[in-house]
Amino acid sequence: MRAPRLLPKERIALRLKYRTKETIAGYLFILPNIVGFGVFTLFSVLFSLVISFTDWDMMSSWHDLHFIGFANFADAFQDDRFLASLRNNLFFLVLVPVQLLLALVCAVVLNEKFVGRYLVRSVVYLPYITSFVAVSLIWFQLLQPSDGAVNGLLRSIGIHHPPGWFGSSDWVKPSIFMVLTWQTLGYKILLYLAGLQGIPAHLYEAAEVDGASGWHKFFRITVPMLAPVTFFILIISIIDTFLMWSNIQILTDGGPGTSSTVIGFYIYKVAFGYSKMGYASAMSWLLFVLILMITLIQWRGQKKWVNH
Amino acid sequence: MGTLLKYAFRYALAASMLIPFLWMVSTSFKTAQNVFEFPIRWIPDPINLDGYRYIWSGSSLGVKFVVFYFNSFKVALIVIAGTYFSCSLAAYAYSKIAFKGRELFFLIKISTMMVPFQVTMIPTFILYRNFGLLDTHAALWLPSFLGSSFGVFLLRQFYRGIPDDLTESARIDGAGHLRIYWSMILPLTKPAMVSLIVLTYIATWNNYETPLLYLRSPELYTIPLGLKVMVDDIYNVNYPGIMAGVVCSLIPILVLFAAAQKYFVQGIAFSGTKG
Repeated sequence: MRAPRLLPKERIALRLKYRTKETIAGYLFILPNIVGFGVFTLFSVLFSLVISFTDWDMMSSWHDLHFIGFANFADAFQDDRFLASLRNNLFFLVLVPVQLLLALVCAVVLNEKFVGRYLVRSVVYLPYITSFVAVSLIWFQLLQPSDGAVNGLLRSIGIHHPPGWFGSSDWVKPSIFMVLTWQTLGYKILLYLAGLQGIPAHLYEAAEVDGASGWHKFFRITVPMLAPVTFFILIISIIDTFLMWSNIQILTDGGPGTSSTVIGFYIYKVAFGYSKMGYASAMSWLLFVLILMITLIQWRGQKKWVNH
Repeated sequence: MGTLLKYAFRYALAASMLIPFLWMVSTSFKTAQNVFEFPIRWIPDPINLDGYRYIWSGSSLGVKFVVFYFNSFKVALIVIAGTYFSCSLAAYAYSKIAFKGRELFFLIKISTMMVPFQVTMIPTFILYRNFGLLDTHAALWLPSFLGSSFGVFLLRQFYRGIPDDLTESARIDGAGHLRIYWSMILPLTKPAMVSLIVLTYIATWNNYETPLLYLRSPELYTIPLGLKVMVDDIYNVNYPGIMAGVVCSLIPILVLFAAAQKYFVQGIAFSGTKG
């Protein structure tokens, strides 16, 4: 059957009608998303911004809301515990490249064909699918200073004064770092393995024809080709370090003293431990700005440093 | 590196991941007195089931541990349903419907990922309090019905792999969007669906943060919070019981992982490398 001939005017009207219908359909499909954005993002962000300029404690009613200007923001930089959190965050940041290097080496070695390849790979993801509560309960007992298995082992090989792990302010950060690395290594290896599979084999073949050594191939082909993945993991790890709170809450509650407090955790503590909602909101905005800056660097950096 | 050295490295890596789990299983079968024996006795003697008995019938905070189990399953199933429903509908719109402002809305959706949890934590708490949702399971599953950015992003990437010609010709034949979504897109993207479900399940089952913030009554606790509370009871720490609880909390995850490992790997690799 032939479609009836339409006048141009009618055709435009029909197309407009079609486009309106499509637009309505589109909005209906994303309606839950729009509601979610409005409630959990737009409202929350504005609400948080408003109370960051107040001394609200959650108990007092809206009528007694005191606007105190930028005092909360200024307080943060006078607050020893906030500054200690910043320093602790820096410690964890410095260690991010260690994780990256370890994950890269593991991925390259696991990418080759070997006996038990699939089994070893699955085992490596095991900590990553385990809840952090479970992970920390296991490690907490293994790393008990007096009668944990790890210190038992260290004593049996002649180390008479093994570390105090979570109980010592010198060892608490390295301990947390170890446990977090143990848990997330599998995820980073997985991302690197996916990246390795994307490197065309002919690059290695060509290098072999030219007589390149294994190290040469690693540094001239593997590392540059994996740059986008490295960059992705780097950014994710940096942001995760700043947002860290529940794992700190579970493992050490920020202690001993402030030796393992990080910004993300300190905000949680100020809000739900001390009910200083205004101050907590102000610090969360400082965190927000920090993360926005990191993300911007990522966008710019991806263009500059990473060749797709 | 020599071949031998590489083998040693691989197996050492696997062992370092596995040994803490083996220790956990071993400890769960010990008596309270034998927990800190050194050198470690890997096969406990005697094999003691008190830890598991405690998990099955004993109680912490006046609530049986099995209740935490039931709560975890309930919340995880609802969250999966909610996530899949909202994310797949939105992903369909963002990839297959040409509507005004599509790119803008997608950009907004994706950029919400940048807002730190700490910023929205307090307002969300207040919101739940005002709507009477504090201390209810709804506080845990409600947001999933509004779509996670990650889920929308993941599914949209997969849906874009389906040629537009296919959906457009169906449109010309008179099929509505719901019909195309239901009988074309959903069946064609089963692997993506399984990936999202597996990842959502693991994340929800292991979630500690939201229950900690919003739940007060122990009878509503999910497993991670239940375990944590068991440990905080410092006058009455039951190490074999705790480890038995950890073992039990892991079993559903391990079963799922063994069954759908391919999809787990696919989902993560996809979201990580195509970002």
